[in-house]
Amino acid sequence: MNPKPGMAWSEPFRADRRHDLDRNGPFRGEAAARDWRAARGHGVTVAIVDSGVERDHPAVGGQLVRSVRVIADGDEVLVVDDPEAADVVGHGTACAGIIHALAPEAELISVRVLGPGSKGKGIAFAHALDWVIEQRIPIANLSLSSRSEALFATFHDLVDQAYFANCLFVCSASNVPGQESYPSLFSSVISVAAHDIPDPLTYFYNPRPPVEFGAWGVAVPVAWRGAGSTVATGNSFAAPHITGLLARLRSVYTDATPFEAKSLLAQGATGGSQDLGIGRIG
Amino acid sequence: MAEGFSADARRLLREVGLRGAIAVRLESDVETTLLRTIVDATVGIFGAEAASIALLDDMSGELRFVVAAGAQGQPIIGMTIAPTHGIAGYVFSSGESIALAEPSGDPRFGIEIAMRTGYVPRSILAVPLEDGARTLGVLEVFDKRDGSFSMQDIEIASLFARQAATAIKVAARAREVRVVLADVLSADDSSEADAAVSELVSIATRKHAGDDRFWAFVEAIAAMRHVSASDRDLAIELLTVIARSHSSSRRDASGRLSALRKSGR
Repeated sequence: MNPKPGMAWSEPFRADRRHDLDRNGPFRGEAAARDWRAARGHGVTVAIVDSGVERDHPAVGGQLVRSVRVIADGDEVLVVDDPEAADVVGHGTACAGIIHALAPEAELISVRVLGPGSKGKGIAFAHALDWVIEQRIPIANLSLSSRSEALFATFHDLVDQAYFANCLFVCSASNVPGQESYPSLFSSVISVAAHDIPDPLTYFYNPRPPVEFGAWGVAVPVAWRGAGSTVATGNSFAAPHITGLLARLRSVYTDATPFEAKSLLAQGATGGSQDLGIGRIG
Repeated sequence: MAEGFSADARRLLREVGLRGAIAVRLESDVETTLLRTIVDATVGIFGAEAASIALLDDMSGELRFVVAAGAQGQPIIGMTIAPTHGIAGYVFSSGESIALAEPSGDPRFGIEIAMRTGYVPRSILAVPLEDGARTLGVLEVFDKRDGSFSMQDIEIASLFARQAATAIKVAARAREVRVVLADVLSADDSSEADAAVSELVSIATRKHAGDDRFWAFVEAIAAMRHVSASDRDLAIELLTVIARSHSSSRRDASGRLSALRKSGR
């Protein structure tokens, strides 16, 4: 992750170290020919930072391997195991269902920051991100954000840490245009807003950020609490589509950096005026 | 009272007291009135069955439905829910807007309130009311008549929510005047502070105590809220003209301000 203390910034590029840079990555050699788009997320773990995930919900397919809660009470913030694996709302289960449908072999970890006992949500959210990075979970779906000005620097630091630790933060953009919400507005995350084409595999790349990707988020059939289901609209439901696709990508290119993952994602995007269905991946 | 204050400070405090007294007359029910206007407009614009605003009750920590529009919305007024459950709870605790439709699995939709009112909406749009970093409550719209809610609907509802949050903030400031004065006057003895505030307000308003015309003016302004838009526009124009002629005559008397304005251009 970060350079070791005392290590020169130029060290990786010194003649005796340059062999470490010999890495094909996703763009060279045999790897470039691989197609990540048909993968199923095998070997990839995805964190869902949300209202919890209902473990036994059919839409989750038994892929929830762990559940934790972040409890903030005053200055005290704790991450504790949540063996009940409940979702008091349904929102987190909805996200998990979308991810599971796209990457059925990916393992899911629920990090619950909403619901009872979640006072000081901004702080709890920040701690959740810190925990995800510490656990080295490669992808996190963040269908929520914070508008706390006081935590601006904290979130900025966290997304940089995630970037350097090869952890992809997939963030839903605010539903209110122009509203500042974090970490979705930071350039090192993968920010997602909704489009209304009813296809989970159609997604767009926007070369005019802040929001870089558009995925299905209008009238999406989703799982809901109590083994239920509903039809939901919001950027919250666009983000997990991209998360699911990134789980596919990561299962093929396990060591792709966030920069490379974003590029591959952009490369596979549907064209704006493309005949839909031809450009879609499958 | 307040002997320790300088003449300037006393003058400022009296000014604050006067403003507070006027604000209370003007704003007594402005918050509820404005919020009701907002839910009425929301129902109209979306062609919805109902709309409601729930606010966090700081004392109980619950979300309380303070206003609602539409026949289906009326039973909800006054009800409270935990701020973490259901759609309103999710939107309140996450700050994220959401639209939901066609609940099929869970007929209660995860909403306690639907059970109690007997009204089970087919679609819901919910957006947070935010004041800076703090979430004050939730605006909900139920059952859009022609079709389901879109992303654009979420954006429009968010603008209404922003207006509602501003109305709440303004009304809260007016109410806070007395509290602030009490804090300033006495940090340790609240009973004396209350008396001191009353005294201050009475001193501040003494100039206007027998001035029925002044209070009639304030009452007339307050009544303007209930007149038609065109009448209000007329009143605003009249007042603006009177105020302008008054202030320009004052400026001319000193000469300096108008001269500054001219040279500035």
